[in-house]
Amino acid sequence: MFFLGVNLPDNKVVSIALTSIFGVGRTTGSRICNQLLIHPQCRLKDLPEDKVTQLSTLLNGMTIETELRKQIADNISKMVQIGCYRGLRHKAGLPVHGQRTRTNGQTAKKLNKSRLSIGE
Amino acid sequence: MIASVRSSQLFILRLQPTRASIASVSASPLPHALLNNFAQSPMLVSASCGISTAVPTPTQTQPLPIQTPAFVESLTPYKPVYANKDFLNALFTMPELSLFKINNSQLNSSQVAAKSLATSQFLAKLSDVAMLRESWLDFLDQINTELKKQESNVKLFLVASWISGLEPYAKSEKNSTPPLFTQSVFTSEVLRQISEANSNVFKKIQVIGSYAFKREIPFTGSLFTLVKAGADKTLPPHDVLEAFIAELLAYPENRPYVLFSFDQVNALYTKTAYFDTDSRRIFSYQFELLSPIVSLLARKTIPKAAVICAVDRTNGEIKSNFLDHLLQNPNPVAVDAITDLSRFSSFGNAVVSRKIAPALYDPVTFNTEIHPAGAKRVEVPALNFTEAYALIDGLRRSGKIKVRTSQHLAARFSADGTDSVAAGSLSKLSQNFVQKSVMVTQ
Repeated sequence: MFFLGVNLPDNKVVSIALTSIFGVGRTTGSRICNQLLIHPQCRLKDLPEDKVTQLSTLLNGMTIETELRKQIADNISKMVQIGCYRGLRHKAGLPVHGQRTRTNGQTAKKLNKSRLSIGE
Repeated sequence: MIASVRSSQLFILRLQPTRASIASVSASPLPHALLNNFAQSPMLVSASCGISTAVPTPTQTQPLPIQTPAFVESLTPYKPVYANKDFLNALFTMPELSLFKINNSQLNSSQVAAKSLATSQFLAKLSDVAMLRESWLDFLDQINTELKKQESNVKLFLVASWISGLEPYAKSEKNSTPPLFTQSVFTSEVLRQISEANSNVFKKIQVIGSYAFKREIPFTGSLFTLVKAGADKTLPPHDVLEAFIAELLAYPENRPYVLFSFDQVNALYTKTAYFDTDSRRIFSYQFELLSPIVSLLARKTIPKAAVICAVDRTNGEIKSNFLDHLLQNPNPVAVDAITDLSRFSSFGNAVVSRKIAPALYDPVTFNTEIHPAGAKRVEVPALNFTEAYALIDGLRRSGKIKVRTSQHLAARFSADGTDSVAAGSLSKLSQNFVQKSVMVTQ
């Protein structure tokens, strides 16, 4: 099932299938199901049409996917712009949350600069 | 399940294959004389409570040929006339309509593993099998005693997948506190099974009470028509269920004796797998499907009826601390035993017995309106040696479980199983198998 440009797995439980959307984790997925009174073991393929419509309406009101990525990138670029420590670490492509750099830190080197480039 | 039965009748609890203590053992023969004796004996049911959940361990790594004894016997369908000591430890098959099959029961991981092992190792098909135990005959006497009363004030709780989150639900239109929820699809299925199980009796009972179901003209017709209308969703299923139970309770002279039986009744007094719109757990009594049943159990007296409930202790998801504490008292507990505990506790009024309830952390403890009245504990004893032997041997002889043999023994069997030497070896295998399995059980 395609939802807001994301292909959700039909055979999975709705709360788990929603986690395929960027910005929706297990907690948010469960909360969405509870809000719409979707029973916990409901599969996505068994969802009735009215619930699909309600789900779509609810998700449209949330910040997910492209909007969320843009928001994150804006936050990072703002930190870089104001010249704060965290911004400098993002700019340098180094760990931001106080991790060691003598060893490890490869994930930060790989990701932080690319996050920065999205915002620029 | 609600069934209109005579006092000597009793529905059968379904044997749960995951609760049967079966161990993989090498088979041993059973003397033919003993086999003949067992051939006359009927079946046993009720593997709830008191049976260990030992998981069988394989003794062979290679798949062995399966031997089918030449003396496979068919099991007798259970009838009420068999409920006497002449058929003690005998195995029966269950009448089909007596089983109230709800397709939403959940097994936990150990039960799933035990069930798959039992199926693969023993080719077990253990559903719908019953054994008449001595404890059940005693239990029947208690039920008959209750049914003889004009009004039953005792509900028998047998200690040994309504709320598992598998069925759609919606918020009820009724404004109540706490909020109620409906399960229309599931309720109609419940009504359909009730009507199928009791159709012959329901057709003879005319509805006396006035039930409008939000229409100008009240309903008229038989009880069967009423329940069928709810099953077909011609009328609101929840309202039909409520009217059905109200009709049974309000007009006892219009119906025969009724036996109310509930399995996994502890699920009625605990949280469900469902959540409300604020992501808070929903309790069982908040479902319109279950609230009539909870109200039924909370009644002090029920005319021309008996209520028996089975408590499931194997599934931790439906554990009810409140009910466990309530049933510690072997005597029937009245709801109004003590209503004011303010002098004992700062929590206020919360009582289920004459002792201070330790389950104060259980919210159901404080909801005195739904507490079952007259709950009496009936212990289901563990299988003794004789019963375990009869059960396993009966299952083997009826072909419900099949024992894998060693290669050299299998080679000696003729195609039609008439090899007398092999039969002797087979019976020898069977006895060892049964004996060892019983020893592991103990």
